[in-house]
Amino acid sequence: MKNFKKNLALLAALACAGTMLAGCSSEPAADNGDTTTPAAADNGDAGDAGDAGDAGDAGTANAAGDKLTVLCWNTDDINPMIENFCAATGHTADEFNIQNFGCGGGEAAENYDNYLGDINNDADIMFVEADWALKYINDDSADKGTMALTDIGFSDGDYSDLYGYTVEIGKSTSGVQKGLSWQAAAGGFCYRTDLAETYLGVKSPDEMQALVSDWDKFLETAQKVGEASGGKTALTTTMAGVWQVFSAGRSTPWVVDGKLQIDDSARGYIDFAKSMYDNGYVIKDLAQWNTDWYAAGQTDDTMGYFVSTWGFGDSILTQAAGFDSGATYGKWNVVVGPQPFYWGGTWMTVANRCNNQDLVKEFMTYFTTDAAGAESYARFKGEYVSNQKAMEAVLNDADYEGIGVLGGQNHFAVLNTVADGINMAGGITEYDATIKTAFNDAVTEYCRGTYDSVDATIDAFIDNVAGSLPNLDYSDFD
Amino acid sequence: MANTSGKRVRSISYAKYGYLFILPFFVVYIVFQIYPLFNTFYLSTQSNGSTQTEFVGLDNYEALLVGETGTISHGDNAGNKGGRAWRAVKSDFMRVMGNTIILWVGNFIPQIVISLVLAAWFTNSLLKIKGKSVYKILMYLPNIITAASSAALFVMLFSETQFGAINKMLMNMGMIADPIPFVTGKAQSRVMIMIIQTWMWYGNTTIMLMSGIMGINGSLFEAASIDGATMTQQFFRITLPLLRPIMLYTVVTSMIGGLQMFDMPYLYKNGTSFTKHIETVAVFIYNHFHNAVSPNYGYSAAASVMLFILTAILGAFAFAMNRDKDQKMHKRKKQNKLL
Amino acid sequence: MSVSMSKEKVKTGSLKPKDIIITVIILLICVLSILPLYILIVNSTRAGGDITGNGVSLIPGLNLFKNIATLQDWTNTGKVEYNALTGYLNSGIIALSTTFLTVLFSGMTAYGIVVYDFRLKGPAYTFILAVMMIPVQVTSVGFYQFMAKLGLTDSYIPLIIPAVAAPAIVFFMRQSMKSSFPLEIVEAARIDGCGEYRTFFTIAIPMMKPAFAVQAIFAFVSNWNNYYMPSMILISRNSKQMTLPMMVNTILSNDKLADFGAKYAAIMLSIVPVVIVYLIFSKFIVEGVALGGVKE
Repeated sequence: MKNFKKNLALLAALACAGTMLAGCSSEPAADNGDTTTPAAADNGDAGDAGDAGDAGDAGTANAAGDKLTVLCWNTDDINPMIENFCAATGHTADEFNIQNFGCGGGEAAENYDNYLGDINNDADIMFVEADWALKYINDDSADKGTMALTDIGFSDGDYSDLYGYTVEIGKSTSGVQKGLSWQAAAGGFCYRTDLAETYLGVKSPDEMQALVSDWDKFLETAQKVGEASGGKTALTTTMAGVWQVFSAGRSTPWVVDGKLQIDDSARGYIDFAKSMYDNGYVIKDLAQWNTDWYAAGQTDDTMGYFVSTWGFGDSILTQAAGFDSGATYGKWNVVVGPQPFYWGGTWMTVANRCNNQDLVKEFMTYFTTDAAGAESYARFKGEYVSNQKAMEAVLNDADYEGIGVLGGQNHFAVLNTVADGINMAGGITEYDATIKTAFNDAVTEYCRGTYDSVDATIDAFIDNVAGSLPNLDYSDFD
Repeated sequence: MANTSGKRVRSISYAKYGYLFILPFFVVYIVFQIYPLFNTFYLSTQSNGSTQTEFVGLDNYEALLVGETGTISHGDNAGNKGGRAWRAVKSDFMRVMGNTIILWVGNFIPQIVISLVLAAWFTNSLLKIKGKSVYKILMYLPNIITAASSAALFVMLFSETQFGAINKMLMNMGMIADPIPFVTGKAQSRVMIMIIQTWMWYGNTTIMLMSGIMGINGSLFEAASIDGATMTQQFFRITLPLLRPIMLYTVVTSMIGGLQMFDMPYLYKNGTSFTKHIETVAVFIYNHFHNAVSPNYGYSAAASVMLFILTAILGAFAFAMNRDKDQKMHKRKKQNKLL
Repeated sequence: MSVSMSKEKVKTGSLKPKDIIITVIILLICVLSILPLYILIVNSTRAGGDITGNGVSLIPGLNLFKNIATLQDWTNTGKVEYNALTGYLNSGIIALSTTFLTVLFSGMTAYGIVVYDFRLKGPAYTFILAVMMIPVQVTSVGFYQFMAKLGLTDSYIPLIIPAVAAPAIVFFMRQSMKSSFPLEIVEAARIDGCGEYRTFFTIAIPMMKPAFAVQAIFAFVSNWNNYYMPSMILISRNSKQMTLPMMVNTILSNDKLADFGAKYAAIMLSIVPVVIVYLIFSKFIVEGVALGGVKE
């Protein structure tokens, strides 16, 4: 009997621990306001009454199938979009539910997959990045797939005002339009005006553009800057930045019929990169996005950055200049540079489980094909939008004063030229991000001296790709 | 020993308490972890590159271990040689295996030596160390910061351009002309990982060893001191032998931790590219599994299973070594008693 | 402590060169240990532009409150989900419950294996050791998928309950008991009429305090800092459920939020509670709480 009592005591102790846990876990479950999953319902029963109030508030923030749910990885865009949209159309923010995963763009897809794995989770619009947009655009399945835009009322002739490249990236491999972007992320070459004048005698953006209008001239100019500065100043900051731009000039896709392709321009890049690196025309081994990258902009060690529409503010150029009291603030100008390119940008796709098609259509139209809506947003957020008509209206605005970091230069005019000139002949494949990284990694190792020839570098590149994309056909390279 | 005491006092009735005490562990483990465990074995026999997997038998193991000349046994290419894709993944796998072992040895040895010495010093009251209690607290602090934060700090400190703090300092002092590639250089990056891992974990190990030493019956030290044993003698004659169970724990867990080393090799990088010389098996597994456009479940699960087998073999070896010593000790104890 | 007192009685005297050398070595190691943490805290007090422009500094700045205000501003304008108090509460609930469960049940499991003799003891222990060696990179995803099937995503249950089964800590507890828990005590307790559970709770746990404290610290810190598992399980990102590392990640992962000062402030704020908990628990180790009952 004594033992029985002891057992009872232990059980009681366990039960206490269990209750404590139930208390903990029921709290969030009740907050969830989502009664569709059995677990949430169970916990709701076990939860204490004190949570009931919370559950009411949280209900507005989560789930609810009749709201327009937007999947995204940060709220930089969606918050101002909803604000602008609601002000213009009379809709209210209550009609939207933001499902923000709060992670880097690269990790978003995994979170989407997990979230979409539960068919009860609501999803209408899914934001995607160009790097992995095709993962969802090429998917037609009920759970993770996306709809053709014609299914929600768009027609293929609607997109004529949009910059062509933004429309191209929204197409599936078989040519179905499934995504649209409200942004154009065209980029240019930003250079230090004072250093350009000292080393190159350049006095205007036009003169500068003439010196960097193609890659041969770019290399020549880099050499001049190097000689004039005694090897101190590099023409541009990082090799990764150069590759970002250079790779936009390819004329064949990376993968055709499941076979890896190596474009001649990519092959040519290897020697170009080596001479840039060896001669110190870029800052050796500097990587993007770390603090050194920004620090370089406040010294005379670098003369230029490749920057996309979204990068003129704090996220790249303004920070590299040291903000408005910084050493080089206002000493920058932007030119088209050697190669029109885009960098980044976010596309909107429509989940197959979308149950708010009318509102989704209205929302997407407002930010893309509707010139008035897009112009309103361009002014509201200071965004470079994908609608060319809207952008031209903003450009022709006499009141526009330019931005401080560029000393008042109107960069929109430059970027408009770039966006027009972006060449999609290189096509896009879902493997591009992986392949471009693999190529850059191999070239970086070649620059550092790990490989002794261009062929060895190409070989290492193929191995890099073959190691992570086993389903492509490598029989051409066996 | 447990057996003898249990048997002496009412041997039948106590066994069930053993089951009751271990029951919660097994219930929870089976409920939550058995599925993921079997799932790993299952995935190791599945194809790569898609979330819709197909059965491929032992192809993934063949790809990782044999490579190019291995024969594909299932799917469209059945009968063909593994070719370039298998060659690439095999050479990757061999490289990450080598890295893992180098990095583990290079951080385990300094870590265990430093920790043992510190634990011995801290628990030895013959030493007069001022502010001892403060030091004991401080040494665990590296472990409190998340790996992501400390990696970011180390990358900032050891950044390999002229802007990196350490390089800037060395260049200003005139000790080097060009920046040292602390993050991407072969030897440099490995040594850095060894140092960072040691830095992160030595406090942890020291604390564990200290708790072990403090668990040793104090009267032993007392008696030894009275008999005139020196600090070193006490360490080798009392501390080390009695610390053996905790040492075994330290060796085995740091072996597991080392073979599965992930955070630092994953986070310590220049920009976004991994440094190949410090890429470990765990990083290989993670990257293949979380590859957005080509989730290679088969490769990563097969690598996982092989890493598990390797760990188990080395673990069994460590236990076997320890058991031998235990038995020898018992014999010696018996002899001592006889004497 | 009787140990140290008696030793001091044996040998008293002034500082020897050896003591000084050892003190200097330890001092050096300690400086290296806290330097990165110090730099992190200093960075949280500096302006963002100062950090990117001037790199590492050892001198604190004056911008701590401004950085915290920036964080607050990011939160208020909906740029990030960062609410330190909610984060403390959520991470606290998870870290404290997992620590409690891990330490208690690992202690129990180890006790069961060390003290009792039963037929499946060998296989059970081997099983525990084997599962300890399984790499987590792949199983964690299977774990998520399984929890999704059970409808347990967006719940704390998968984050807390599995802490009951912590093989490595069972292993540690078993090893500590083997080296410092004499089984004669259990026998003595039985003779005194003390029941098995009472023996465990009132005799074994107090005697094993250093081991429990050590594992409690480790468990608390690792659970507090755990980002990966909560971010997987709490898939809907309900702002009221999010843990502190998840909140910090919304800030660190956002390239467009450029203020490094505020970013470091967010990291710094997430570390403070762990340091406090650590200092509380470390008392057990530092004061040398050793065996209570075994000496006589």
